[in-house]
Amino acid sequence: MPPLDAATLLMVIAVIDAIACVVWLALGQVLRIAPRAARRISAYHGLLALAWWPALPAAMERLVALPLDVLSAALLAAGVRALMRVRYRAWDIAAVAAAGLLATAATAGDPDLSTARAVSNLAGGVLALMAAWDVAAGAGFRAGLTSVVLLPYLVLASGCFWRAGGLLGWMPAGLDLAGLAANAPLALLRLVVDLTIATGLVALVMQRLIARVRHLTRRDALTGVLNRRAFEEHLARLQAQAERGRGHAVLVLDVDHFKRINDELGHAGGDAALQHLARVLGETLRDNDCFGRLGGEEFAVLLPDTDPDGAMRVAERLRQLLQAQPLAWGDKLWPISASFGVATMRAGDAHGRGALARADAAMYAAKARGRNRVLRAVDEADLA
Amino acid sequence: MSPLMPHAADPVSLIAALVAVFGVATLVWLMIAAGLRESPWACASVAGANAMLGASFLLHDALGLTLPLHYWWSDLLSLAGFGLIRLAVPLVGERPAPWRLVLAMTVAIGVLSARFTGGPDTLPHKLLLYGAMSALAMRSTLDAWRLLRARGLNARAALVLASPLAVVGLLLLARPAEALLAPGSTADIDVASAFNIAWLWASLVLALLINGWIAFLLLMKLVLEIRRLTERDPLTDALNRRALSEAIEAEHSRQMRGHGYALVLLDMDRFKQLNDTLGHAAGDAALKAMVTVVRPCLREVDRLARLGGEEFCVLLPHTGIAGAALVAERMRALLAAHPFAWDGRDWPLTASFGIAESSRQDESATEVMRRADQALYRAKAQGRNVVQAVELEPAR
Repeated sequence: MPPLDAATLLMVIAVIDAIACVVWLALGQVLRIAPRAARRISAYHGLLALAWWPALPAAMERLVALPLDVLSAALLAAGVRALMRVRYRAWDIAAVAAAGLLATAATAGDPDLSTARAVSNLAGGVLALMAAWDVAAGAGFRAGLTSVVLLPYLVLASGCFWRAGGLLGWMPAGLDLAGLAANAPLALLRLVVDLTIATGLVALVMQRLIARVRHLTRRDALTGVLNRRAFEEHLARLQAQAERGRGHAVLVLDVDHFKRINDELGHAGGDAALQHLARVLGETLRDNDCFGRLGGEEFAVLLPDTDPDGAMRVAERLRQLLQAQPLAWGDKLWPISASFGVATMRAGDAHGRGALARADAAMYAAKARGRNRVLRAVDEADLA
Repeated sequence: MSPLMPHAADPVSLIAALVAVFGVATLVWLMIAAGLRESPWACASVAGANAMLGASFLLHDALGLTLPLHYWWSDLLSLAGFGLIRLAVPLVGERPAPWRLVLAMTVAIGVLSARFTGGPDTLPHKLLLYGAMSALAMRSTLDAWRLLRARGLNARAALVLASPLAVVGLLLLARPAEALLAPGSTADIDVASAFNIAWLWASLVLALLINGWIAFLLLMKLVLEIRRLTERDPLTDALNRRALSEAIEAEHSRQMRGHGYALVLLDMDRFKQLNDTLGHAAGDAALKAMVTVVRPCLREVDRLARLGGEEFCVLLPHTGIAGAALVAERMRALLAAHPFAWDGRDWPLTASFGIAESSRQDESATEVMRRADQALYRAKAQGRNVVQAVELEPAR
């Protein structure tokens, strides 16, 4: 491999950062994607582009280049934190950046730049680790992908620490790193690290948007429980297990006198009643129970590995819970109740719709018998 | 040297940087294709394009890797890379990609260029190879422009967003143009001539821009999808209640400055009966049909929303009660004349309409909605398939 020129590579890094600065501005301002995080990340790339451009005279390194390094690292950490939405405060980031800047300023009397460079590298390394911490906590990828996204931050931090150690004379002789301007392979590595950080951030944003689309297509917009299509997918999945002999139960419930609630409280009151029901019942269900809205005021719950008696007990508990917690609307309390139908899944149903239909019929029977009660599907009582 | 460019750039370092850029881009696109499973074929072809362009620069003997026929491989890979970009744009738009055509073109040009005897730096060779790549890039520009127009961008914004690919196309033509204009002075890209340095810088910037641009297209697709999901009713594609409330609130605040608006409530007649007789699927189809029939009666600024069940609402900005009555009557007549059948059974689709206009006396939009609701109630009581209005009682 022929020798590479470090100064050229540094210019390339600056160009890459300038373009990333523009792309993030467009994401934040035009598409309104995570505007706060986008502003910070755009500023990070912009400052880095200034810091790396070799047009800065060497005399400005202490005054401009080193503080810019620290500031851009702080902006990266703050941008990642805003993007990950793990925490909102950034006092720790500001404190590390301020300490780095103050320590750099404190070396002003020293004609040798080594200490100032070491301090700026130390601060940059700590900030890169803080960003890595937030990425690890907030990325919704699988573990393998998350570690790929984390890798450049860790490489960056270790490079910073190594270089700082060398500058401070802590490294054994011959193991210290030369600066990027005189070290072409290191400059190439830094180029790859900056590129992977920049593209990894875009991938993280993309992942967040995709997660949002999936959530919106699977959830009912009003109550946040599964929508009908998503519920039916779960139903079909459990039916496939029922074919192999496992026992699952289906529970259908319908709010009593919902039309009256709507007429008396208006549509907004009706919506609030549905949200209230979804919240009250959702809190008590297990994680792997699927809770969905079938439409209007009708909901359904899938209870995996639950026998008919167990399902009756769950339904009865839900009915009592709902009855015990009236809806607060205006300055009054409005009692809400629902009628429940319970059925078990059997082998031979197409997509589990048979169980849903039996539970639905049982729910209507419960309505006919005076509402606010739980009934088991008729033929199940015979089987039991 | 200008003060902004204090160092002469070194072409070999630029080539190494290009390889690094293409390499990282390949990995990231593969990660998006495999890990996020979003538009996987589009992402995979962008990853492939990056890999091939990167390999094409990597095979350059400036970096010291020499294979037999490496010039030929290098040319073929960059051609295939642009072929994949040509495929990626329709794939992002979820349209069929002309892969057979691109494959045939790559193979044909590969065979042709292997048969050229004059070496890789002759003019016909450059014309053929770079001309083909440029044609692919230009064709992708056209595709991209159409895709952006289809996404609802205006012509100028679409042009700006599609332009990076066109610049790539022109940049590719620069090499044969140089060979044509200054014959004999052509040098391979690792020679530090001013033309080469400028060309390599431009390639680097464009490699970054193109990748950023495709990412932007994908993100835009996701953002538009999210907007549609949060604002629209999934069944009928009318606005949902929340989006309508926001539009009405905005209109009501303008009403304070003298711009009146009207609301039309429409409720499909005998919907429960339709559902019970023909089934839920028929009910869904009837709602969709109703929206399709009434939509042409509306202007660009009007908003049609589904309030829930079979009840819809239209917001008509800058419209009084007379204008709203005209619109509602047209919708009623069109709907009544529209044939609807399910499973061979005819079912007359009609709706009842209630209209109300805003007034400065209304403290909030809820009061306008309440009057429209009263009017709808009256229309239903009058035997359905009619338009009724409730006007504000004159203030005493």
